[in-house]
Parts: sequence; structure tokens; C-alpha cells
Amino acid sequence: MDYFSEATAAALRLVFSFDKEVYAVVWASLRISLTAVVLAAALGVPLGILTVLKDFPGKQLLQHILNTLMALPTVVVGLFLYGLLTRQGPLGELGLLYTTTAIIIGQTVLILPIVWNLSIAAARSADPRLLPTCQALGASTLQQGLLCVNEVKFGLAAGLVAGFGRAIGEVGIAMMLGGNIEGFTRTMTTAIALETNKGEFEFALALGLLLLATAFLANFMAQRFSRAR
Amino acid sequence: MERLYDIVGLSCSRAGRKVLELERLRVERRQVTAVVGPNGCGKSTLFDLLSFLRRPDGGRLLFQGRDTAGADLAPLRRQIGYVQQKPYLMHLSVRDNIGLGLKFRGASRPAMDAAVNEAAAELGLSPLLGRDARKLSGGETQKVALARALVLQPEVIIMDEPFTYLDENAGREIENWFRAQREAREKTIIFSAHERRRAEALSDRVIELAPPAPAGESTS
Repeated sequence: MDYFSEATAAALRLVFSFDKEVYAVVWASLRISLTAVVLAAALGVPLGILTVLKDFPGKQLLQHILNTLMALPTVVVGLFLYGLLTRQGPLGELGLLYTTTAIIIGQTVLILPIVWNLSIAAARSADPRLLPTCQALGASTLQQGLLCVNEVKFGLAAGLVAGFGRAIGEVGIAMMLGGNIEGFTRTMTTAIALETNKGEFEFALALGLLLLATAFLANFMAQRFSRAR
Repeated sequence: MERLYDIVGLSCSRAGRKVLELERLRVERRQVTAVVGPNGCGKSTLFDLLSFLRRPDGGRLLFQGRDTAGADLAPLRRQIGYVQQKPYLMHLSVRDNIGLGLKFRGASRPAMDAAVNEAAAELGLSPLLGRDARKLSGGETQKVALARALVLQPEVIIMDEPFTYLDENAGREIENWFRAQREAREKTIIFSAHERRRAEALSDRVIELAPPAPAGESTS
């Protein structure tokens, strides 16, 4: 118990003294995961709204696939992308393995089904009179989509926050594609795993507390957005 | 008199159930036509068809003498101003809601403002232009939806049960608008109403819709 209390106290000291090393890792994590969220939003939100606006064969199947991919294991994404990005892989020449770009790609792949699916849910939650009204006013598909984004923006934002929560807390992709290189590809989750193994429990705990605070903040925002709908 | 709509043997089904069956219907240009009938007789479905928001399952729907089967519905929709039974206003100001259709058509801001101001003045909405459209009363919502349709200067105005959610005052205002339109004879207006007496008082012609044949007789 003493060990744990002392470590917690030391961890809190690191957090509140704004330890440079700790916050460098936090910043790297935020940068990577927020970039992944932006990319997933750029793809997932239009795809989600188009999925609702357009009728096409296989729509039901797509929904099943997206539901399944919502729970995509991070190590599986890491594994597939490792196969593509490794020097012997088809994209090996790009030299992306063990870079932050590789982690961003991995996290984008991981959260795209979440953002896509929750965008579908948000667009479906729109008032059923919205689309007939847009059509009656002569809106094109793009204009309908933009108006739909405006009408369900809180639902869409909740989806993005959920995606961010998944990205910031994942460890498999960051470990397999980033390689946990200090000051470069080390994220909060990979640093926690490594520092614990090295016996630097206080440092790992400080990062754990900050990760928890970030996840809490993300969920708090998601709930606020959901309520504002 | 010029014919605007000509309908022959029209039918529409939803989830395998016939929701509209119409042997023959003609609507003349610049007339006010009222549609009456019991609940479930297919008034809203008929209005969706006349607004080109959906296609019929069977029969022919001619608009301005042309068969609309297989036609691109988007240009046809632009000739119709449709005010739904419970109009939906966007999370925008009253001004932006009224100007929405013009924005979709790429109108410039000054042209949009001029048209919105004119329509708002016609319906007594000028003091509300800066307000959040989602915070209006039922009567105000109905008038904003009508103004939103009017600014587009459509060939036809279609209003589904425009009096259902209105209080006495708002109802009277819309009635006066109908009377003025009937007098002016500039637009074709089609509306549905529960009260036959009101429908007769406001229109040139009343059409009575009968509920479609029972499900067992459905051919779909």
C-alpha cells in the first residue's frame, strides 16, 4: 500500500509540476489522435450522411460490416498495416513504418468505422421531415448533405469525440506501427507499458492519470453534445 | 382553361398496402383546388406525388401536358411550392429559412434579401425575420413555410392541411391569404382540409378522396 501511495503522490507531483517529459508524451499522443480524428471526420462524416441519403445495393450489408468493425481489435489493425508498411510490404518504399504518420493512418483506420457509423446514426436521428423539405426546396445532394450536417451537428460531434476516445486509449497500433521511439512515436499508452516494465511506475502512473483525465474529458464532451441534440 | 395536372389510374402502396387509388383527377391552372376526405384516404401521399417527392406505383401523372414517368423529378420539383402539414424549419433564422430555396438555386444575397423581405411583408412576418425559426408558434411556423415556398415563385402552391395546427387568428390570416390569391388568379393552389365547409369557401373546386380498396384487393 505504501508503495502505491508513494507512487501516486510522486505521479501527482509530476502531473502538477507540469513535468516536461510527461507532457511531451501527452502532447505527442494528442497530436496523433486529433489528426486521426480530423482525417476520420473528413472521410466518415460525408460517407455516413451519403449512406443515409442514397439508396444502393448492399446498404444493409455495409451496416453489418460497420457494426462489426466498430469493435475492431487494435492489434489486428496494427498487424495488417504492419504487413503493408514493412520494408518487404507493398508500401514499404514509403518508409512510413515507425513514424507518427503510420500511427495516424492506423488510428484513422481504427476509428473510421466508428465515425462513419455514428454519423449514420446522427443523420438518421434527424427529423424525418428534413429530407423531404430539402428536396421540395430543390436542394442538390450536396446541399442536402450540408444542411443535414448543420441539423445534426451535435450528434456528429458526439461521434467524433467517441472516435477520439478510442484512438487516444489504444495501444496495439501505436506499439506495432510506431515502435515506441522516445520523443518521436512514444504515446501515452505505449509509454505507460514501457515505463511500467522498466520499473518507472510513478512516470507511468502520471501518464495513466492524464490519460484517464483526457478520456474523462472526451466522454464528458460526448455527453454534453448528446444532450444538446 | 389550361390543364396543369392530369392523373389517370394512379396508385401508390407503402409496405405492401395500398395508400392511394385515384381513377381520374384534373387540376386546372390558376384555380384553387381543395382536397377533402377521411383520414387515411391518401391526401398526403397525393400531395407527395403532385410535389414530385415520390413516384406513383402505377398509372399516369401528366404535368403541363407531359407524362412524368421516367422524367427527372428535380426540375419538376422546382415548379412546386410545397408546405407540409407540420412544416419543418431548419436551425436557422426566419430570414435564412425563408431564403433557403433561393440559396439552393444560387441566388445572390441582395436578390435573396429583397425576395425574402417582400414575402415576409405579404404574410406579416417582417418583425420575425431575425428570430430563431425553431422558437416560433404553430401559426408563425406555417406562415414562414408558406413564405419559403412563395419566394421561389412556383407555378403551384400545395398545402397539406394548412389549418390543422393554427389557432383562430392564424387560421383567419391564412384564410385571408387564400381569398386574396383566389382573387388575384396568379397561382395554382391545391390544399387539403378536414372541414368541407372551409374547403368549399376557399376554393374553386372541391375533390373528395375515397380510401383505397382493402389490402386483400391490392395488386402489389
